Amino acid sequence: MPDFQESSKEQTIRAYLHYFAETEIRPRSLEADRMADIQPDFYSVLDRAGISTEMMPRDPGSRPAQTGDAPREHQTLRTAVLASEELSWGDASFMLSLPGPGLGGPPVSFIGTPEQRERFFAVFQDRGRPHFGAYALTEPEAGSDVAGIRTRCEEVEGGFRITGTKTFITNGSRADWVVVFATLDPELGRAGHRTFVVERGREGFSVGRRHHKLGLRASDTAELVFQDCFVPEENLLGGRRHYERQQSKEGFKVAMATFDSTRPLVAAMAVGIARAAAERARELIRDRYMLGRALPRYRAILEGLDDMDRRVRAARLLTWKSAYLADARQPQSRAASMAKAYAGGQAVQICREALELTADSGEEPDPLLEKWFRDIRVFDLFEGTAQVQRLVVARRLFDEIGAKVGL
Amino acid sequence: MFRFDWDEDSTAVAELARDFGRTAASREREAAESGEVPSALRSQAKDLGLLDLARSAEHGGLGLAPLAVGHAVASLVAEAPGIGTALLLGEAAALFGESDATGLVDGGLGHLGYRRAGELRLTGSRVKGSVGFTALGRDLSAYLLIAAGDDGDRFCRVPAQAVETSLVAAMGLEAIAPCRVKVAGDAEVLGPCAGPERTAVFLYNAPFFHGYSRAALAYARDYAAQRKAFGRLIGSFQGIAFPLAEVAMESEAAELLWQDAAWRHAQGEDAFVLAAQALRAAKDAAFLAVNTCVGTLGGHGFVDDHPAERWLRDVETLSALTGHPKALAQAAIAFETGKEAEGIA
Repeated sequence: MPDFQESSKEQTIRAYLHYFAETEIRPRSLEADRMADIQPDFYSVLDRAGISTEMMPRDPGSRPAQTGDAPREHQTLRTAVLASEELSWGDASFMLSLPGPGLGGPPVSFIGTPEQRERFFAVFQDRGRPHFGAYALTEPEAGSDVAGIRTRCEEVEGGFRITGTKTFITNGSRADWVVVFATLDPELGRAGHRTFVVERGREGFSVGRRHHKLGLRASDTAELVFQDCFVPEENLLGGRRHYERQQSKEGFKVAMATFDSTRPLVAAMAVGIARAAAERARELIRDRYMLGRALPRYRAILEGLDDMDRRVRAARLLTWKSAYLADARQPQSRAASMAKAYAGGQAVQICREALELTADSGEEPDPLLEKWFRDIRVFDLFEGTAQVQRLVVARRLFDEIGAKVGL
Repeated sequence: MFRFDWDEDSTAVAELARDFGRTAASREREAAESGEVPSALRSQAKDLGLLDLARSAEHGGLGLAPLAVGHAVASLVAEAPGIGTALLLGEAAALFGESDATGLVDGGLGHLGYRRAGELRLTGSRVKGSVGFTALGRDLSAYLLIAAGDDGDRFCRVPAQAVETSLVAAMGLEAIAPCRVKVAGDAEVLGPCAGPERTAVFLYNAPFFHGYSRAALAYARDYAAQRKAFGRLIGSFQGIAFPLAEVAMESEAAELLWQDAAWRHAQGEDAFVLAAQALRAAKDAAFLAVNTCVGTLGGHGFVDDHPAERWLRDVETLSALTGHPKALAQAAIAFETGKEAEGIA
């Protein structure tokens, strides 16, 4: 039977992260946005508070993936989406800037050899300074079309040489290492895909530029350039035998599997922002008047607030369900895409409505609502655009009846 | 930790309802044309216990939790929307322990200034008024009324003789025979009908819409997987496929809102607003689903060779029977704000 009770551990984590978001993140939010960077002191605050991606389960440094062991409760994706929502309620840029392997974690966890997992995750044990991982899939000419990547990897003695450009890479300019997707030959399609871990400082690997963005400005988003960058054989994720054993299509599958576990987290971020906007609108409206009447006494206003609340909760429930299915090791790419598409789309609308509901009475626009209006737009774009999510959902619908419609 | 799977008992009842729906599906058109569910099907549903889904074990029912009831209702309606709705919608009185010979008529909320097609006023023990559009069971011997008293809604029971019914020509749900009800007479006043009771009714009604959503999505998808245009299956066109994905998302979201509200209601939480939101979401999703189904079928969706046009009529009729979405929001606001409602513009 469906059950919506959060465990006491989950309640504790949620409450603690909410308190942290309210007292440490939100007060820094607008300044970080103006600076387009996280305040350096934040990381020591974070460290003192004991908050790390250890609380974000799909963090491979702590998850016993591949071993078949059940994840500990605080390492489930369900707990991760709760944490993601709370931190993003504070500011999603800060959530994206949490030290740790980030989106680079799942591929290393899913297919990395034990030696690779130990080697690449070891850096995160160092508490001396923040360390980051990154995930480099998107290219200037291939975003949602994962199969169309053009970054080449050429086999050479002792390893591979990678050449190409990756773009829109979260934490790209400060990552200690980056998971890079490349192709042996574009003509081979998905079978030609290979996945590597490339450490910062390797010759031929450089940061092109940091992107200036509409929103999430404090989050580092960079372009990465690979020019004849030599990567040793031992950095081929999973090793050569992995690709031989899996008939060569594993590189593409790794990218897709990563999305299945990260889309619920991104959906939860959108829920956090939408919730923040809905709460802020309610708070601001309470004290405002129009035509001599308090705004809350207008039915249209009340309906608008009620509707926002409903859509935030619906998005959260879709997110929870996709996380639950992932934890239960059940197929969930459809659920993950539904959560991501619904949460992203609704959150965009909610942030807009919150801004319009509160700005309509001749008041100065609220800077937080304006910021969230800018921040939220990308949630319909990254981790697969809204259109790509609908493509996934529609394909799975037809798969249910075994129909090959050519979508 | 939250979870989304169904237990064995709920699954078994839902599968029973689904299987019955599959056998009934071929008689959907017949039921709509005759204006009633074939008697053999009604008897079969009764024998299977499907008419007792919402009744507590104490009153001779299956004693299912609201979540399990809704799961079964949606499963049946998804297979045979018209017949499933006609069989079960009129059984809402069972939520309050009444037999299947008792019809539920909601004429309350009038004390809050909420206006519906009709209103039942309770003065002392006397009920008077009319409700313009409601769904009732068959062969009724009594009516459970929700009437507006001076200090809130009350459940009242009256014998069949105190009620005058007349069929109303509606554009859909022909097998349910919606009717107008006039009441004038003394009633047995049973007790208040407040938040928890209204919540139970909202939660009972929402799964009918979930069933229509599922039926319409499956029909449109199956059609798109075999119909060709411009030399291709139409499902290969994003203009067709994306709206289907949209329906899948909205339907799933509506069902989850309902599950959450039903679970909280069962835990004893005040889930009135959540249930009202869930019902509204269910209606919106069902309209999107049947409207998209008609659109996917193109001109074929407009003619009665396919059930899509009937489902479109049904959903809008069902929506009116259970409170239009806007009216529902108004009711929720009125209920929440009580006397302050008069100050809302």
